[in-house]
Amino acid sequence: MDRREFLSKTGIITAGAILVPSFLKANTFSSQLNLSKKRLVVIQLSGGNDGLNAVVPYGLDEYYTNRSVLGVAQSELLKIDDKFGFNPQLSGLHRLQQKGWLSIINSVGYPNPNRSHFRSMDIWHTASDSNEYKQTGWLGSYLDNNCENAFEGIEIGGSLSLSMKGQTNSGVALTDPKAFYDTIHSDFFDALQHPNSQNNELNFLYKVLNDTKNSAKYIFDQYKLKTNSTDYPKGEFAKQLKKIATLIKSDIQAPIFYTTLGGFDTHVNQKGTQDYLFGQLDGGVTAFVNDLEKDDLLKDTTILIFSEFGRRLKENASRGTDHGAANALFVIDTNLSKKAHGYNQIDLSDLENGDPKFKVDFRSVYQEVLTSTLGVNSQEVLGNQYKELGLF
Amino acid sequence: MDFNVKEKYHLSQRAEFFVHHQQLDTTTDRARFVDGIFDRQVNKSLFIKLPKWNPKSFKNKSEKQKREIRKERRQQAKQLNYLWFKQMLDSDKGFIEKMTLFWHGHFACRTIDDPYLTLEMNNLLRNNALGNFKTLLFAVAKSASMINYLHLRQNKKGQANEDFARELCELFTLGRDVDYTEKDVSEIARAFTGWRTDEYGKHLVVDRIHDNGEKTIFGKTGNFNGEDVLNMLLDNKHTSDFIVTKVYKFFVKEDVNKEHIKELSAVFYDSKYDITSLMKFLFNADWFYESKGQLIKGPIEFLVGFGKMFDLKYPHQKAIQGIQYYLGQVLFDPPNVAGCAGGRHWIDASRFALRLRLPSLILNRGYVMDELSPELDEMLAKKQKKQDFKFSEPINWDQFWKNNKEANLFDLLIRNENNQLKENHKEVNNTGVIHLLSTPDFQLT
Repeated sequence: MDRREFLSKTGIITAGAILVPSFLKANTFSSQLNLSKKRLVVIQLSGGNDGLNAVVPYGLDEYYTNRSVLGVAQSELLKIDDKFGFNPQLSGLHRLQQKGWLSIINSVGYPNPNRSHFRSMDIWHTASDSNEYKQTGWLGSYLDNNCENAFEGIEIGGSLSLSMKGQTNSGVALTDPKAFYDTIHSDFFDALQHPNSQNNELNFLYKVLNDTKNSAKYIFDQYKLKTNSTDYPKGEFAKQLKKIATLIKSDIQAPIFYTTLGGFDTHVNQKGTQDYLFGQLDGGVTAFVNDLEKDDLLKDTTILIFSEFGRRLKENASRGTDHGAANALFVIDTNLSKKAHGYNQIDLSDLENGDPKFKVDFRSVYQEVLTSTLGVNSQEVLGNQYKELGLF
Repeated sequence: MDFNVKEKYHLSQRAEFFVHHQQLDTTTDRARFVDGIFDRQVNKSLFIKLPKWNPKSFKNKSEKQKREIRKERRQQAKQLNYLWFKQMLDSDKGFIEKMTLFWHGHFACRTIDDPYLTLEMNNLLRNNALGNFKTLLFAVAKSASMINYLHLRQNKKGQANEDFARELCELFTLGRDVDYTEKDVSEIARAFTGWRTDEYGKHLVVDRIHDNGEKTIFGKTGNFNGEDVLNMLLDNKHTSDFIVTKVYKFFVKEDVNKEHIKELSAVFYDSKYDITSLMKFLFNADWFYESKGQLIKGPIEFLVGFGKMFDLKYPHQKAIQGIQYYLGQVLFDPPNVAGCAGGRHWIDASRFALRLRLPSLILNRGYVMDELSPELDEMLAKKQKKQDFKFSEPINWDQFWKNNKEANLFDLLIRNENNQLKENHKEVNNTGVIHLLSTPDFQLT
């Protein structure tokens, strides 16, 4: 079985053209079919997730001395090894980890950490250094180099993340495939003709118009193909993941999906908020993973769960935690290497401004998924080579 | 050469968002027309009632009190956003507000959690918007906003914080990696040690933490202080090049013509950074008029220009702020110190779809065509019930036609030559206007 055949069998690409009205076909989709190896689903936890309470280093004294109020008792934890245990709210992630399908990469960050939400999120989105301002996202750069249609990067949400914005090609953000289709669907928009002007900006906008109409229609048409009757837990986050699963099941030719769960900025009375958010995260991701596995689609999927920074080791006086730096992130994939399970490491005795120091550059993780999941030359996307982790 | 009506449209829409045809100056002399724009500007500071500024307002406060302060400030920040947005719609302030918007992007400062600082910075930018760049740069560097935002407070003798020094060179004056080194950045940071503001927000230099030692900056050695550094930066012609390039990208086009930059920079530098001289030269340059239709409107320009066209009041504060967010530009809330990236960066599929649909949503309950599918009608009706998308302002079409009675509507609304579109819209009625406003062409100015 050659690669194309393999990909087509696994549903990443469908043989033949997508069904579109013939008048749109001429200059619609890129002739180059997307040859990504697998698809990537990115889950962003906004606000700064407290990795120390998600993957609890119960074997380290410093954890309990600094977290006398918020520390999770050893007896409640779902054990990973003799040093770490999952927060009891994250039982689904724990099960995935026990199966070998979830890798915890701990102490992930970057040099000279920035503790502003906005700035640090920008750094994660653009894969930049902390003193560098880039205008395009890392997934946007991937789209620039490898894709031609907006639907190849789908974000379920109100506005497109900087991550997904490229120089010449960006992904598309939508809360609902039908609503997005309705916004751009009109006989008037359909009748507008590309002027083939001398004006490059005008040509660019007509190209975007064409792409927007076609992407909206394609996404909606695919979305309608199958009804997804799988049960998901309550809440907006699980609903978003369900939409993504429904699209994936339709064989949509999109290598990238993106969604966000917000509210992790727990300065005050952390426990209640954190329990709730971990419940949302765990419930949503578990349902999503099961849903894909049921249709044998999980094996072609990598899920990356990240946040802009972790939180301070020492809890504050308001039963909360303040902005930190290095953090734990999760990679879910049924095809992880043995090595992938060796990155859950943290040193709480050697802090920088009260935060654990970073050991793994987040761009090393990007490099792994670009190379292994999306199957591209990561240096073309990231501009640099980072340390290899060998996750897959 | 006569200054024709299309050139007037081009200039007035670039400089003042939009001006009705009947309100255009009737002179056929370009220089006089340009002067008229400058003469008519009214500089009005933004104002809302705020408690006296207290830089330590969170000290010794309980969590509950802090939360209340934050909540109140968020409300005030929203109020300020709305106030400025509305002021841009005023006919006697278009150009000065447009320039303020430009400087707001250049000296991007995120102080949205402190409305006092937001207000201070905005009025500072407006007061100097058409004045002198040197005065403006000094005022910004000494403002409580910038001192707070770029960590000058943390910049002390022996413990320099380089944040301000780096952005000063990279984003405010020379441009990234132009004519300065990492060593210069470190030394510049030393020169700015001790820069603070007092309890009233007034600038001062605290001697005790100011580094009085010798520094080597741009190849010169001496006991330089912050003001010396600002003067050295202004002496460097690259600063002038960098500023005029940004002006060019904002007012002319993204695709920079080096010859034009040379001309602009010579005028700017020789006038000792007089912004009015620079802008008058720009608006009188033949090549400025050749750039029509080549600039993608930013979201604020799009919304304000459209609002002025129909004399909209935008009475729904929440709706207009939601739209700013969805289109990717929220006043006072730049993504970071580098400001928003303009041009094609404004456009992605989702934002583009909203831009195309928005005029019809405001003018015609979402109807781009005369008829609509029942589902879409229902969807829009539902959407409009939601506060976020409530645009129920009555549209005074009679006034619109009166204001533009002698205009060719295609020429007034569309800046580029799209012959097919023009052919289809030789004579237009209300629906035709909505059509023109719902095109990719209308996204350009």
